[in-house]
Amino acid sequence: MDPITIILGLIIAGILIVIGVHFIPVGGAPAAMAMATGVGTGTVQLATGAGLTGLVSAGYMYHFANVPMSYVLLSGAVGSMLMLGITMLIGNVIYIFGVGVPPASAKVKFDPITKYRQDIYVSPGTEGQGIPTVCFVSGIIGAFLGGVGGALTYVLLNELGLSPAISALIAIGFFLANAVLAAYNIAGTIEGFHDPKFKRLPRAIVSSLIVSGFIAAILVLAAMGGVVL
Amino acid sequence: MTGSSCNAKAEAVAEKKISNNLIAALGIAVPLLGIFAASFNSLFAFMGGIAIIFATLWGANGVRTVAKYGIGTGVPSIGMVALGGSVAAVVAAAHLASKTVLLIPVIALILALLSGLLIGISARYILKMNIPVMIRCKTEICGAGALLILSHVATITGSFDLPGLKNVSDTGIVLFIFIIGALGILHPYNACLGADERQGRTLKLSLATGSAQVILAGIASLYFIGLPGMITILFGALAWFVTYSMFVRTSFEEGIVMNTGLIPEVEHK
Amino acid sequence: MMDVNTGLGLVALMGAAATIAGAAEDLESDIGSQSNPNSQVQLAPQVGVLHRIFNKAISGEPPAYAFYSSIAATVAWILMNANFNIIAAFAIGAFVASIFHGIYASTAYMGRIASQRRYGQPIYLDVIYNHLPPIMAHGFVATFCILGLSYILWHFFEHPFPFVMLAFIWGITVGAIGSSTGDVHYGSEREYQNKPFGSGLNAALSGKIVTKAEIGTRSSIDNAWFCAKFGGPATGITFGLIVFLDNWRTLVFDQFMAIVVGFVIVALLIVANWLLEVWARKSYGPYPEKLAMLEGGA
Repeated sequence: MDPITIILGLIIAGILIVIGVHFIPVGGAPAAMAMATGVGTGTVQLATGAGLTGLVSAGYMYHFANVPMSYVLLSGAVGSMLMLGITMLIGNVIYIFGVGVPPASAKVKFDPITKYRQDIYVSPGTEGQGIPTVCFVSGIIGAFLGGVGGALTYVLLNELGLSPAISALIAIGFFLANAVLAAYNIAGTIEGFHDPKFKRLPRAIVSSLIVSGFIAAILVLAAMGGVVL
Repeated sequence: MTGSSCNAKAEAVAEKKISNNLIAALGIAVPLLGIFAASFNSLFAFMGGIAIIFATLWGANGVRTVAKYGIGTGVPSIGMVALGGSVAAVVAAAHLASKTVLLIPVIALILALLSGLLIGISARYILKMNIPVMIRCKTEICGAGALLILSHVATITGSFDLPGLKNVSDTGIVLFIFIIGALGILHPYNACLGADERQGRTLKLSLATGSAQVILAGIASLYFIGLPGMITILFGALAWFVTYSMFVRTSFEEGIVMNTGLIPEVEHK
Repeated sequence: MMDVNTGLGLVALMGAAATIAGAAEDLESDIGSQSNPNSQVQLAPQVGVLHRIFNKAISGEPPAYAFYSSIAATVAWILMNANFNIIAAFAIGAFVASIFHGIYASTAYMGRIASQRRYGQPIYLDVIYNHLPPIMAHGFVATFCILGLSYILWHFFEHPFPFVMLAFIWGITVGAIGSSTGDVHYGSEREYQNKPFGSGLNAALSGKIVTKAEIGTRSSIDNAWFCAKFGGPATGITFGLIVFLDNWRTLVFDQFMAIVVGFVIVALLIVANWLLEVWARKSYGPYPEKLAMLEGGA
């Protein structure tokens, strides 16, 4: 593959990761006490967990001979979606049976997908709890994008001639750097695409463009330009 | 504020700060020298341990400075980005300078500082995080991350060139380096977080986490350089014992220590 | 490629190991009070609630578990190359990891509590001595199982990533799962057990955690006893399902169908979550306070 395609591909991968992280509903520390809607953990943590599970699937798929690139990317996406989907489902089971609260969002009055009324189901004194359908679907979309982004990074670095292990290492680092940028933009909690904070997305895309572009440029320069000094 | 009488004590233990510039200077010079020394002969691989300790000190001080502002995503993400942003720089530097090996750490440091600078600038101006030290600290943390990775590679394999890096990557040990380095940098401030956190104590803990990494690097180096790895383990164990005792003593001096007992009564506001 | 029956057996074994790893991980994080619910333990002295609960702020669970798993995997891998028995190598690796786990846990407790001096929170030495062994033991079980499933994936299924890398990735994953599922049970229910069941934590009550036990003072080991009834097993099932389903679909179906099956499972998950939500809304109903507020306002 020619260098420009790889640089562009890596930038696209970075942007996909950043967008994906914005879709994933995380409630941060408050959600662990059922004080906020979303999964009760940090943005980077959850996104990285999902993205790396996808990376394992994608790496396994890439290892077969003559596999189209789309299969590898989709495999990464499916791995991420499975991880996040099961985590959110069991998370909801704990909210419903362990804490005894119905899932509800505090950011919207009606769930945009199911049209269910939300505000009267929010536990008093909290910002919502659990993972209602709209957050769940948003999370699945986010895991899809993040999984594709991670897998794309891995594939492109392999095409660059790096060994699978080094490719996976850089893919992990690349994923973390982009996920952290997205997390700074989110600053704590986000419920998904219906959250007002989602409108901040363009800023994260620009910053990811700069950082991913730089990392892609030095990698391609090093691997393709060969020995300079 | 409750417990205003305790505040006087807290101020009494507060002492003058070690300047960030001094720590940055030490954090660049010592690891660079240590990396070169470690690659000289496998018997000197333990010198890489000194590099590890000082790179950790520098990174931990950077994390402390920026995390004091409260970022909203927790301390761990800062430490993870340090290593995440610098792995690409290390790999690129190892490729770029594979003829003049001695330049690898310098180029890796420069590239990592640049990527840290970019992350800092985008966080400060594009993501509009209102933290003045953001740019400086992100730059420092990424630089420390790159030096930390190279110090580990030098300690573990006895060399820091492209084959050395390939060795640790293809066995997957580079991920072990990645995570012990990240935890070494982020743990000191994360573990001391609180109202009465003090730079001296946090940095003592960073020396202890640095030394713990040396022990681990020594264990890993048994596979690559064999018996000389034992020197690294012994050196690390000694350094860890000293620094860990220092940290425990300081914590006991600054905290209220009880062997056991019920919860003391406090006046509620 | 191996035949499908052997493969299925191995995938089932991986799933079983993952289930144990997930449950042990969650209980360990409850004993140590790690990750997000720990924010309340951290806040408690500031609002005048002193306690005898451990404060294991090593980092978020994903990096922490990646840390233990990578240490264990590296040690095990070196021993495997020195022709050690594989199970013994895993045990020694996990043991070394649990020692470092204990060291980091002790510094986290001492450091965090020493930084709370002005609120009068003491560092209890017996809390350190009593809590470190169960923390390290649960960590050992979790790490050992992660090594097992990484080894099966690497050795028998010939995954292209190195063994240590797989252990690292599964460590990140199990930490992410533990902090998003089981910890909710600890944070929302156990820390605030005196509040009525069926409510989230009212923001005004932040930090006012329960510090009394049935007899005497609550310790974090009591929390494992409580969470072992629901939060821990649920975490185990989550991790087990993820490992099992993800590997099962790539083993049984060919490459294209594996992706299709993955999408089908995800669609089923969405439906399952929707059914669960509908059930919860019907069974629990809206909060009377909210309805009253609504009528009062209207």
